[in-house]
Formats: sequence, C-alpha cells, structure tokens
Amino acid sequence: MRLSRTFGIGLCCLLLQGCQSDYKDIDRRQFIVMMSLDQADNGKFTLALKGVIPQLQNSGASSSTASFDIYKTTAASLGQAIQKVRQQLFLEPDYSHLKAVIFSEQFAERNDLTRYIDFFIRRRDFQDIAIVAISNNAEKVVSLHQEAERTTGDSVFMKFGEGANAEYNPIIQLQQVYKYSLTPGLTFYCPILNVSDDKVVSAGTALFGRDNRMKMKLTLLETKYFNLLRSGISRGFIILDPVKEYGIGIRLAKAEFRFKIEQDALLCDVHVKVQAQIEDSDVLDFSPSELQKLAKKKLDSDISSLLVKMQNNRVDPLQLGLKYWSKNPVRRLNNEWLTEDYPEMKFRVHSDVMITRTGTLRFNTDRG
Amino acid sequence: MNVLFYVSLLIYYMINHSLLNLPNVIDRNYLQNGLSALPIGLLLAALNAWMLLSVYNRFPKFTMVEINRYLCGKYLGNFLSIMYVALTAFFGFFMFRGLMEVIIEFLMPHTPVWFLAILLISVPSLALLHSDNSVIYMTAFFTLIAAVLMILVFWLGFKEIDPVMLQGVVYHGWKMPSLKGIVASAFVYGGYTGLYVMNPYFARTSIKLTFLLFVTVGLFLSLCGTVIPLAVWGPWALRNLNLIWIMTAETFSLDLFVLERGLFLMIPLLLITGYIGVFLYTYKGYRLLSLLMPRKATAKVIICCVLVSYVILSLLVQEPAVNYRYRELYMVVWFFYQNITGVLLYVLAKRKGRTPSAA
Repeated sequence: MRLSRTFGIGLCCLLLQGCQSDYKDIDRRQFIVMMSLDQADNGKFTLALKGVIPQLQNSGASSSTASFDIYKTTAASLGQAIQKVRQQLFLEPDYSHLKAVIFSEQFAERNDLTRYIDFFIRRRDFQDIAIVAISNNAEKVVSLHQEAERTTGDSVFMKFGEGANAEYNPIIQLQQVYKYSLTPGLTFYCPILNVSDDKVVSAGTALFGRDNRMKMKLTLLETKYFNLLRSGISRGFIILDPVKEYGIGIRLAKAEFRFKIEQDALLCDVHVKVQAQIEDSDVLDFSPSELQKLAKKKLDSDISSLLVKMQNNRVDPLQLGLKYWSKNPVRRLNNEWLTEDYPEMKFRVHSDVMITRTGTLRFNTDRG
Repeated sequence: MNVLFYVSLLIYYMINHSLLNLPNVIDRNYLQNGLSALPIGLLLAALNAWMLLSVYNRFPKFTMVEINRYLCGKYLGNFLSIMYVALTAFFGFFMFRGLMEVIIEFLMPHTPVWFLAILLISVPSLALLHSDNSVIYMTAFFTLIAAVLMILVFWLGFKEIDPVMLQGVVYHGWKMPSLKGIVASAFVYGGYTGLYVMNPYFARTSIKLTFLLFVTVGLFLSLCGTVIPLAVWGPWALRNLNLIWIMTAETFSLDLFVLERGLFLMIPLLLITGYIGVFLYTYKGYRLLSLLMPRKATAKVIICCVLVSYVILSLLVQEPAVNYRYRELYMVVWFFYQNITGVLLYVLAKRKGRTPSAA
C-alpha cells in the first residue's frame, strides 16, 4: 500500500514536468474564417486572412464596432506565409473555423492548386470541409463587409445551400479538390465569386485541367446547366426566348448519364428530366405542350454545347470518366481517359420537360 | 446476462478493428487486392471460432492456460500460452502507439511524447488491480457508448458517400486478395479470444450466436469500415492518408454553426475503443501470466516491465507508417498462431475427450 502511494505521488510529480501551456482560452484566440491567395510578383503570392472579433468578447470594455480584422502578407510558400502573418497578430490564430479559401484567377491559372490544397489537408488545424472558390480579386472578397451579414463571412459561405439555394453556385470543398486532383482521369471545378456593388456575387465556374491549373471559365448560364448535370438543381429558370427573356421555372431537374459503344465509338446518352412550373404570364400565349417542346429544344441545344465545350478543352468536371469506370468492371481509370477516350466520345442529349405546376393560378387565366 | 457481456465483448472487437485496423490494410491496398478478403476473412474466423469454442465449451471451468496444459502437456501447453501472452503484449503496444498518434495529432500536438506516453500508460497499469467481473462490466459499458457513436458516425458517413465512387468501388473490388488483407479481415472477429481468460465466466458460449454476430454485426461493420472511406476519398487519394477513419470523419459536415465536423464524434470513439483495447490486452496478458507464474507478484513485475517498454518504444517508433507495417506483420503471426492452435486443440480435445476434473 505504501509502495503504491509512493508510486502514485512520484508519477504525479513526474507528470507535472510535462505540463506545457499549449492550451489557450477562447479570448486569447483569433478565429480565422476566410483566406485568400492572390498572385504577387516574383512567383510569390499575397495571403489575406479574415479574423473574426467575437462580439461578446470584452463587450463592456471594447469600443470597437468592427466585426473582423484583415491580416495580409506576401510569401512564396503557404507554410511561410502562415508564420509570417503572425507578426501582425496579438492573439493566437485559430484556423479550425476556416470556412472558405479563395484563390485569385491569376493565381489559379499559374499554379498547380494541389500543392496548396495538400497544405490544408496535411495540417490538422484546418478543416477539410472548407469551401474553395475562385475570384478575379480574391482579397477583395475576403475584405468585404457586406451590410446584411449576421456572422462574419456569411456572404460567402452561406451562398452554397446553407443559406441561399441558387443554381449558380457549384460547391466544392478542400477534401474534394484533393480527391479529384489525385484520382486519375478526373478534373475539378470551383465556383467564381466576385465583388460587385459591395456584394459577393456568383460569376460562373472555373474549370481546371489535369495539371490542376485553371483552364477555362463557364458563364452563369453554363454554370446553371453544369449544376444541373453535376448534381441536379431544385430551383432555377429556363429562358426560352433570348430577346424577351421569358421562360419557365424549374422545380426539380436532374440528369443521368448512360454509356454504350455504338459503331465502335463511345456514346454518352444524357437524359435530363425537368419538372417545370409556370412563373411568367408572358408564356401564356403558348400551350403547355408547346412550352415543353420549346424548353426541350433549348435544353438539348444548350447542354450539348456545354458538353462539347468542355470536351474540346479536355476537362471532365462532370466526372464522366469516373461514371464510366464505375459501371464498367473491366475498365481501368487512368489519365488516358482525358487524352484518348473522352475527346472521341459522342454525346446525345435527351431532355424531358414536364410542366407540373402552374402555381396558385390556372394556366389559362382570364386576362380581361 | 453473461450472454450480453459476451456479445458486448465480440462487438467491441468488431468496432475497434473494423475502424482502426481493417481500413489500413484493405483500403490502402484496394487497387491491388480489392475487397475479396472480407468474406474470406469471415469464413476463416468462423472456422477458427467454431474449433476453439468447441474446445472451450468442453472445459467450461478452464482458462487457456489450463486447457493448453491439459491437452498439450506441461511444456508445449505452457509454451503456447506464453506465446499468446507475448502476442498480446505486442498488440497492446500497436494499439497504444496508434492511440497516441491520434492524441498527438489532434488533441495535444505540443505536448512532449514522453509525457503523453507516461500519462496514457497510467490507465492500463490499473489493469493489475482489476478482476474478470469489473473488466467485463467496463467493456460492456464502453462498448455501448462506442456503438452509439459508431452508429452516428456511419450515418453521417452514408450521407457523405459519393454514390459514383461507391458503385465503382463495389464493381472493381473483386480481385485476388492478399494474405494480409485476409488476416486483417479475420482479426475483426477475434473477440472470442476473450474466452482465453474469461471462459469460466462465459461458458458455455453459443456457437450459433457467435456466428450470427459474425455474419450480421461483424460483416456489416467490416463493410462499412472499409467501404465508407473508399467511397468518400476514393482509392487513389486514400493511399496518402495516415489516419483513415479520422480523415474520413473530417469530411462529414454536420452543421455550419453548431458541430461543424464529424471529426468531433470520431475522436471520442477512437479514444474509447483504443483505450479499452490497450486495457483489455494488458489485462489478458496479466491474468494469463498470473496463471502461468507460481507467484502473482512475478506476473505484476513482468507486466510493469512490458508497460515501461511501451513508453520507451513509443519514443522510438514515431512514424505511423512503421507502426502500421509492424502491426500488419503481427496480425499475420497472430493468424497462424490462432489457426494452428485452433486445429491442434480441437484434434487433441476430440482424442482426449472430457475428463471428470475438467467437466
């Protein structure tokens, strides 16, 4: 008994030697919620961090009304930049709440993004579910304080379904970029977010090549169809007349890809199903079947153009290679998909548009 | 009640190894060996369990040491028992170091490794003060908590699965399996080895119930434990990950403002299962040694030396990949030991039959 007591006390004394204060309380931390990387001169980049100032922190003593602070530095490597920016901080930076990483277009065009994504995945203090986006001025997106923001950074990370549910924002996270960049034959995409009139606005989609550099951009209209093909959309609008811009609303739209060999060539049948609803009174001059036909024609043509555009640029953000591999037990997934099979593949789009709702009014209303 | 405790012991092993061990072998080598090892491992584990449970049910009041002595003679019997104790000590270390890795990486990155090693070893050293009863109750209690956490983690995992990747993984998963894969798959079902120490507590155990748990819970956990990370990360990116399930849970997003990451559920789950694992292995080693040694104090001294060696080895083996490599080799040795002794004891038990003193 005496021996075990001595052992216990001795162990406690020994353990006390190991206590190092790596613990810091919440009021000693600066929570970084957003980060941007812009291209700088001499192969360097400018890192900007958005650090939140919690409103309840020292609420009685603090006279500041600012909800965040911006820290900037220039460096050649991310590890160096993260250390360098500390000279501006007086609180310990905490990256565990980092929700978005914004790269500038120039940076994404010149650099292999995986080199930087690797950093975030490797470091345990960054969360792998942070959103990745591209911007023409990444620092501006991070520095912006949008008036209606309830929490710092809301204007960016609430755009992807947690808040607004729009057809223009294809979400992608750090872990997905890492996964897609390492999987042979795949390429990835990122949403483009720009600042316009002091608001963060969706501005299309950036598509990356196999070298993980930004290769091309999709317009907002193409982004809508891209989203439809990628994961389906639950809200949207199909413009039927390019001049008057009337159209029908999308309630639910999704696509399915089927592959087959036809005349020794790989054929991809794209089946698009859209449940639509009447929104504008402009379309009431047509019958529902005429509208459905118009919408079908429009979808077939727009989606085919989008698919061919991506094919010509040898980018496969819809992961058709993966889809083909997943249904074909003898097929191997490799980078030749992008150079040999994919460019030769034929597309056939079959759209099926059904107007399922006319809202709270009848289709043929009496307009006097 | 004893049946429930036996079930909890089996399920504990299944949860622990399908999350900690199995993905490291199966998922990392998926592109070469696929998933074929999973059903083969199940079949081999079931065969081994059937032979050993038949033997242990013949001698309901005996532990492994006594059965080995009775069936194989004093020298061979003791040798087999000592070998098992040695295997237990080795695996205790692999679990201990694996657990430390999680704590070093995610909880206490700035704390010195020596300090953590001493801190973490203090709990398994308490195994020396426990009895079969308290260990069984503790295992059942923590298995229940681990099961709840595991259901939550798997549920989140199903939501994050990439269906295209899942389909591809299942389609392309049927290739020639590797020995290491088969062994790792069989290891998941190893909970019945708890009978080596606790046979008098559980006997007679139901072989049918054991098989039922293997086929339902065991196979389900093995499949989820391997397929979810593959379907989330894909077989290519997954090869780069050190802590597969932690990194998989890291991709589960719960709610932007409440509990953001599935990681916060996974770490407690791994800590519970890992710690109970180290504790159980230490306890098993200690109990078997105390039956083998003429004096209990000798067994205590040996176990204390083993625990001290855990601390020293933890400082030497700091690279997770080294730990995984040796753990895979260990499992192969365990598999052969387990199957050879299983066949040997089963044949000898058939030949010798039941003795009045043993029954």
